[in-house]
Amino acid sequence: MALLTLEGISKSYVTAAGPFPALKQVSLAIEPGEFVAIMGPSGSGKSTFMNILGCLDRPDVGHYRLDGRSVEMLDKDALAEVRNNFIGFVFQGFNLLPRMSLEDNVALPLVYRGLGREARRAQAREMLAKVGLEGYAASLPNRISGGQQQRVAIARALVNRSPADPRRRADRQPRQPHQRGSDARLRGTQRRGHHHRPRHARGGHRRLCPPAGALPRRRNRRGQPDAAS
Amino acid sequence: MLGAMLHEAWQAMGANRLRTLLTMLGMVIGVGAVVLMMAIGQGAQYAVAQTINSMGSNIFVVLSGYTSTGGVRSGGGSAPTLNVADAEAIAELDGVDTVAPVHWGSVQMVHGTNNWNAWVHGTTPAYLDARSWPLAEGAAFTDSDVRAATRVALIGKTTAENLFGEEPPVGKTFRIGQAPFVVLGVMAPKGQNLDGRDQDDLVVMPLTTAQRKVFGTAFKGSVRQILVKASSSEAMPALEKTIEALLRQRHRLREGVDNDFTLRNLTAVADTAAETTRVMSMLLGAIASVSLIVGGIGIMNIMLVSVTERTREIGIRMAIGARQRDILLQFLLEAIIISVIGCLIGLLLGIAGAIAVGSIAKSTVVISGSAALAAFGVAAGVGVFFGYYPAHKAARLDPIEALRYQ
Repeated sequence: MALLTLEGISKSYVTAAGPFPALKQVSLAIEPGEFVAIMGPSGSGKSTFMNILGCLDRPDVGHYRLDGRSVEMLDKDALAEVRNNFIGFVFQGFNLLPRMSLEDNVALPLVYRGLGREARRAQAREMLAKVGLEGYAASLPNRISGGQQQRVAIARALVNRSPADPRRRADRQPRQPHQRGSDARLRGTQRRGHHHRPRHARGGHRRLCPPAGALPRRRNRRGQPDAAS
Repeated sequence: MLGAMLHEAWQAMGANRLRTLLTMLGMVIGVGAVVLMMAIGQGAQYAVAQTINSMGSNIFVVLSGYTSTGGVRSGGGSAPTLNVADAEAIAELDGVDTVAPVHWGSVQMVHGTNNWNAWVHGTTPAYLDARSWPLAEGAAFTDSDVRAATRVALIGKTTAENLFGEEPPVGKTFRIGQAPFVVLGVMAPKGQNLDGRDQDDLVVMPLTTAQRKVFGTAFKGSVRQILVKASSSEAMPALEKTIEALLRQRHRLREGVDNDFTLRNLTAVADTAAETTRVMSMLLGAIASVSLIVGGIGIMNIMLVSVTERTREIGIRMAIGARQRDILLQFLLEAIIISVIGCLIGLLLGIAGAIAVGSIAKSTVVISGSAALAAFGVAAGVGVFFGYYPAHKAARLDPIEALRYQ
């Protein structure tokens, strides 16, 4: 069974000029272990799609099943728990918290999971070691290089996997950073990225280029004309 | 989780030390002002309560010839309007506990090389009971002393110090004019009365001795005032009316004629004084509370700025799984920590200020644990109240919008 199933997802934004459709009837299934890149020109709705995929936003219409559970109707706090337990984000610019040590940054998802201090520490240190930053646990993000910051962001995205989860074994994907796009990772079992530049997406198993109309072009998701495209 | 959040709140406050300290200063001043004002107000209330206790409770004072009618009274030959018989008649009334007629005046006293001027109260042994006035040493005079008009006296502490200095006065004699008086006892100190007069500068002696051998009067048995102690405070309003009626009847005052005496309810006076200080201390507290509220608004202001500044951070936290209440708790904790620490510092400064005021102004200050506890509770409440809106605002942010915030 597919890990992610999206059926007939639509999302529109309210603008001064009336509702602006950002996604129209998008359907997609992603299998465990799959690596998927989402590509498209600026304003084609990639971010909107990723927000829904990452459970940051809810679709207006359509069904979204994540690991067998229906998430399109969940409220904000339930979505937060889904993100905390199943989804890891590596943002463009990495978005580490500047005042926190690397260890605390990596451990932050575990705080919201309610883990004890020692467990958080152990997992965060283990994760930092896996991305090759074991000596930097106490450093602040602005003391390390951009590449290192990215690795910390990946560590943070992957730290919230439950060790008991059987799908952990499916994690055979290369772990090194591979693109600069804003990409979301689903518990390390399959990865998605969306890209402006196709060459970054070459590592993906599958490229999704939205057909015309499904992701409207030449407009960003706020509905203003997009100067970049 | 709470431990981690406390740690984070601490870090966030440490990141902007000056701002945190200035915000805290608002609370420090607010709580300090409340604690100081409460200490001063309660001190004033305490001082008044002490004074009231020193007067004796449930007391009426009947003063003779206090009204302007005294000078034009004719017939009967009784210009001093109160006498011992009046006191005895009042003593028969229901609801009266004790009655003490008092004839007073000021005299010059001599002991050895010292001389001193003080008030002499000539009265009966009931006087001490009516005024709840214990003796520090020696013994009181008795009814037989009153009957025999013996030259004995009880003296107040101030008088004792001025007349006898370091000597123990009991058993010693002093002179008024040429007549010697034996000191039977020294009365316990009472301090100032409501007018601020020293109650301990006083000589108490048998009524008959004062009337015949000290002041001398043409009107036998006349007294200047009668102290009446009611059996209970409930009995006082009715008793006030009965005493007035009785005295009017005894003095044969027709209707329409003014009283030739003044009846004062000392308890009512005391209640007024107590009420005045209570209102004053409430007023002080209210004014101080305004600064506490201003401090709270300062916290709210800074927390709002902080939420705006950290919008992106809030977005990141939400993306990695922070629920609304996690964000709410985080910002609320910061506000509470600032107000509680500010409160503790304010508490210390307020107490220090109260002690300083107490020693510099020589006024009574009362630092009560309950007031400090209340200030603490209010400060925590202010933290929650003024921290809630910014925290709520942070918790309600849309993670997508927050992440896009630059």
